[in-house]
Amino acid sequence: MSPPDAKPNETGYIHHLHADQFDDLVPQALANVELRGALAKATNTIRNRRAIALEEIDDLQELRSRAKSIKTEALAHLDDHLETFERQATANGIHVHWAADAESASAIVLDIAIKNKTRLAVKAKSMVSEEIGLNDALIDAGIVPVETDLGEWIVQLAEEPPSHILAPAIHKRRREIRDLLARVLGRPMPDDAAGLTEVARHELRARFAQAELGISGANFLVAETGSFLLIENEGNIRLTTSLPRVHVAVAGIEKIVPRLKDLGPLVRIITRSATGQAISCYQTLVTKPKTSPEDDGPEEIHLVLLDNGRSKLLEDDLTAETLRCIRCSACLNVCPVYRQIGGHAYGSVYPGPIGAIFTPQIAGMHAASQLPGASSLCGACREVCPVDIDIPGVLLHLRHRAAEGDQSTGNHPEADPRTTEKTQSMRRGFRFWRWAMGSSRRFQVFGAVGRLLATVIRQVPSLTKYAGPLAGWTDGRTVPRSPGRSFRSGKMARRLRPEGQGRA
Amino acid sequence: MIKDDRATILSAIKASLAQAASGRTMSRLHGPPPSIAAPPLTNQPSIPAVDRHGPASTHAAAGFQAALDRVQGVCHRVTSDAGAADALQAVIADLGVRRVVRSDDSLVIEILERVIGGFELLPPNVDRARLLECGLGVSRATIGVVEYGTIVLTSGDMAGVSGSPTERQRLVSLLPATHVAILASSDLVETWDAALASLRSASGDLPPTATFATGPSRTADIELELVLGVHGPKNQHVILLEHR
Repeated sequence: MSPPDAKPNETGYIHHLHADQFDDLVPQALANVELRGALAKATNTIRNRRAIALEEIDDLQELRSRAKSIKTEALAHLDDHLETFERQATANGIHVHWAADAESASAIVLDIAIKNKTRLAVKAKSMVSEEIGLNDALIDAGIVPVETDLGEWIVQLAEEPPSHILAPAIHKRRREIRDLLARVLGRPMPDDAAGLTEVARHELRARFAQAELGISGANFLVAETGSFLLIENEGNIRLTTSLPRVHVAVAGIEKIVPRLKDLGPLVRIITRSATGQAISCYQTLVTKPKTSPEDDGPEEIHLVLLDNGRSKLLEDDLTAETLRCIRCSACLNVCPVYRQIGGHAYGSVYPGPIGAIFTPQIAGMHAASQLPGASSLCGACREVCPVDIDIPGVLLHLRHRAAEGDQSTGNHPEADPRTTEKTQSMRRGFRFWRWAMGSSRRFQVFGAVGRLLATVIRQVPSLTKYAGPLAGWTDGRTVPRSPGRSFRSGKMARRLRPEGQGRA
Repeated sequence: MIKDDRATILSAIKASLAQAASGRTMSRLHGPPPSIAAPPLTNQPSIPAVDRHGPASTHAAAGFQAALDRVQGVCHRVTSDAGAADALQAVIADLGVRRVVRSDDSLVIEILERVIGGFELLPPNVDRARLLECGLGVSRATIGVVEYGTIVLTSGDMAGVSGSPTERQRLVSLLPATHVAILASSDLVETWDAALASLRSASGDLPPTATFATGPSRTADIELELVLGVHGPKNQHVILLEHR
């Protein structure tokens, strides 16, 4: 599953990753009018709800900094907290497993499923299970995984990946969903959202009753008590973790918090940031399997701790910030790039600004080198981030790495066969630029050349088709009007020049 | 063959954290202090101890009701067990429910004994197929949270301060389309944090599962249109016993 040259724990694996097709996917997304309509409506709505919900908090900055310091502290001693969690959870009767990579996480879940003679597994929405490609691994073993979150069920039936961390079917219009369900279930479907939701409730009840195994993610792992918290609105997580005899939760190692009381501030801020609700419908704290045979709930609970490249991010304080993410998806809804292209164009299960920093760091720069460029660096993502991740800072850092070579491979980009022709010509372009800007004389000469070119091209715009390697830049832009003379020779420059100083 | 990656992961984390620490020493002369050096949490206020047995104020009851109302739940404030039975009877009659399942909490049983009837009442240990046919479930809420109108549902041997020790209510509160929770006003606390803290027993133990439920289940997965009642209950009622 991992690329052959990856060392353990160095580079992780993201299922169905095709971020290298970013340049092709973006024009497709931009041409899809339906998609852009759905996206604009949805992201605007969530964005406004979020802003209103956060206004109700008296001291938002205080809450944010608390949420941030909880996650920061957890990461600074991650090894200790994981060991404490394992000890406590094991004492509670939860089976704790460790998975260094996606392959071994899938293998662990599969092993549990097979031991329990699973034919049908119900799944609560989990980004980590998308990351490791768990559904495909289950299907290959003859086990049927059924997604139970409404949006996730819809995209599973449509055989698509989710396009938003929180609202997986955000890109789909209602009539599209109606037609999809009518086709899959083979009968006419109601037109309204309530009717379609009722169909899902009915269809999925039968699956919940049959399933031998329930699979979920986890929002937070509490080291102190060995518990984990699941946050949701629909009740499908409650069903997934109550009805089947066995429950498996898969969680990234960064989900840990040190103490039980740390959950308060995080719960307070996560749903407001995510959907704009003051609190989600349900938060379920799971601590043990059922204690009495009379009781409801699973007899067996397993928790899989997944690294898959995450530990590498701790090497640097800036990249480590990525691991603070609580997956609220607020950054998606405000990002001017996500709002135009949607989730699928990122070619990764993690889209948007957080995906643009998470994906290349987990899967390696070579697999997703375009994603850090998918940003205008406007900083809106950081502004809304409930744990204040310096997303623009990490984006810049990754752009630098994309240009200067991926340290994880040890190759300089020009010696690295995976470096694209485009990157190569960009490097040549910037080397020329640096030389041209390197002396006053060259600056003046190339300034004059530039003004001349601008004048000519404005008169004969078709000349840009000879732009060659510069086409990527000239295609989307018009040439500015030439000022005719340089700024340095202008009146303004003379006025600004200190008294008594001649021309440079 | 499943390999255990425990040692691999822990040593990778240790190595990375050590590298970050050495990077911090080297870059001390440049730029702002690293973000990871955030102040420790030791001097932050801990959750205040809560006394759930004191007399609850009408203020708290009103606050709980208003909060639950905001999330499309319904709070019935009653001042006697007979009043609670009347409220429950009215909910059952209004919805035309024919089959009701109860948890085995003693207070729930006591109140249901006062309800006149007109429906089939099932105990929580019926088989699952029968349980799925029930239109309404009645169980005890261990704690009520005033700020959000949240009820806390616990499983296992810790249900309710004055509840019976092994309340079976996990599916009773989840499968039927309507859930009615019985909540004593002495079990009201102000904040979510306080509710979480009070879940721990004197020895620090937590119930096997604790669900914080705020209003009926909901989704907005189709064009962000709010729909109540997806997989969990469509109707969430809380009967708040102000005399208890």
